[in-house]
Amino acid sequence: MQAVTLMVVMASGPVWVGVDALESEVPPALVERLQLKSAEFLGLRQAQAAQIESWKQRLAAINTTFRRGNLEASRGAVERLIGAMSANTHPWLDSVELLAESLLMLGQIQLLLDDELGAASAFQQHHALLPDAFLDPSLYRPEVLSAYERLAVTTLAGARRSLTVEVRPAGATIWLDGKPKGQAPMTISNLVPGRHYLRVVAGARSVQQVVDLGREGRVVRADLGADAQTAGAFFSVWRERLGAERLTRAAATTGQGRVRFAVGVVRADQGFDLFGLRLSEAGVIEGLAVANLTAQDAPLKPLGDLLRSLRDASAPPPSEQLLERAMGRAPNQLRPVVIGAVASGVVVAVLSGVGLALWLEDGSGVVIDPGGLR
Amino acid sequence: MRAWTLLCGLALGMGCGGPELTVELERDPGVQERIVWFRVFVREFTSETPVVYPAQRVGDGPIRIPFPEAGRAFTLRIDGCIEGDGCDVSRRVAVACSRTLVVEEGEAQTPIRLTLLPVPSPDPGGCP
Repeated sequence: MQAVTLMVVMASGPVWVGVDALESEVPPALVERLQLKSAEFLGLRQAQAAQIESWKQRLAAINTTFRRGNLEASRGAVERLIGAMSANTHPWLDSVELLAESLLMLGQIQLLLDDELGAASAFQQHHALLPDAFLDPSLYRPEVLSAYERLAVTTLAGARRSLTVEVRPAGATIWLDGKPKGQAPMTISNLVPGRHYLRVVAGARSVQQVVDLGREGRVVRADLGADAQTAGAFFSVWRERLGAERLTRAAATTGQGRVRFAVGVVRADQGFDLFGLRLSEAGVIEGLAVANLTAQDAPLKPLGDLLRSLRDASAPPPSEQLLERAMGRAPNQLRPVVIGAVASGVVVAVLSGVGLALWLEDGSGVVIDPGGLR
Repeated sequence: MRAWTLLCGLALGMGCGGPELTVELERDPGVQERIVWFRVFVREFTSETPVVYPAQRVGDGPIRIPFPEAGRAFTLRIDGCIEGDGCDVSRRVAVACSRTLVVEEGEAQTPIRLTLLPVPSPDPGGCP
């Protein structure tokens, strides 16, 4: 088994949006759904769709060149198109089927150019991506169909590989060849040998890599644990009051200078509360909005309204009350001091000054001793 | 503590002393990873929204959190996390959950022991 460590690749696009659970009570599947919808609401998916549309047009033009008999030109053009679609700069989701279609065209061209080895390579890559594909006899000539059967299906019959994906954090979603496979860690078996397009997504972070399953299975390890690249990082830095410097650092390493939206999800009395932030590059909260999501909100309309208000800067600057809601009910460690001071009517200043530190050493409450963990 | 007692006396004894519940954390042998952070959640009944306390490093020793209102039932959940920046859901490897607790004013509390159990993967969240 070979092991590979993936590099982190930031999703392309003018906007960065991250959704994270702020509590363990929030189901990972909901976060995943909100993340996808957020990208849709902010137009990121539209940008991807536009890219795929332009590739489709390129493939149609190559097809025209091919049918006119210009084989060398069409081979060069389809190879360049396959290179563009295999590049790491585009998420391998909806484009994978188009990639398979392009490989099929390349195989046909190679056959006509008497390059059987090249045709075998293209057909086998297609078969690895779409093992159950049915080639419509009304669309392909009989010699193409028989060559595909002989060079790809028969050659690779019975050869199956497995791919094990280990990811930190556990629970990241694994996409293989444009299809969701489940949550990491997992082993995907019964794969046709060849090139496979692996994408691992956790919140706003993703890594992707072409995995070549040759003679044996593979183990791929990915670490998406760089906390500064998650929406949750903003909230944890913020909620835990770790200071402006940490918040700035989290912002600076997230989104590569793009406009940033971070959405934190917590369970509420009714459904879930969504806290949306718009952050400047310096980590300053420029806008904050809150929405409640219930089971009845199937199209996730509150999420769309929340993101639109942040994007259009119609969300007001955060009020103290709103900030406190988003931060959760922080432990009110000053309360005993204040009560004591007011009741006695004396030494208010002294109590306020030293009370907080001393309260931690004495008084009522739950003492949690982690000594047994060391 | 002495200084505090003195100040408490000055403050007519209000807001000081009172019941204390000690929770001793231990790790189940099934937890393979080294727990570096822990984070406390207190859920008061009947609220569904827990109070989430800042993550604390194990090496920093015991922490104290205030009781919910006297006589009000609550549960404790403690997440254990591996090394990293804090203790969010992505680094949670273990969890300990208490039974329902009620603390009455002035009542002596017996220490309780909670065991951090491994979190299955993928993490279903919450208590096991």
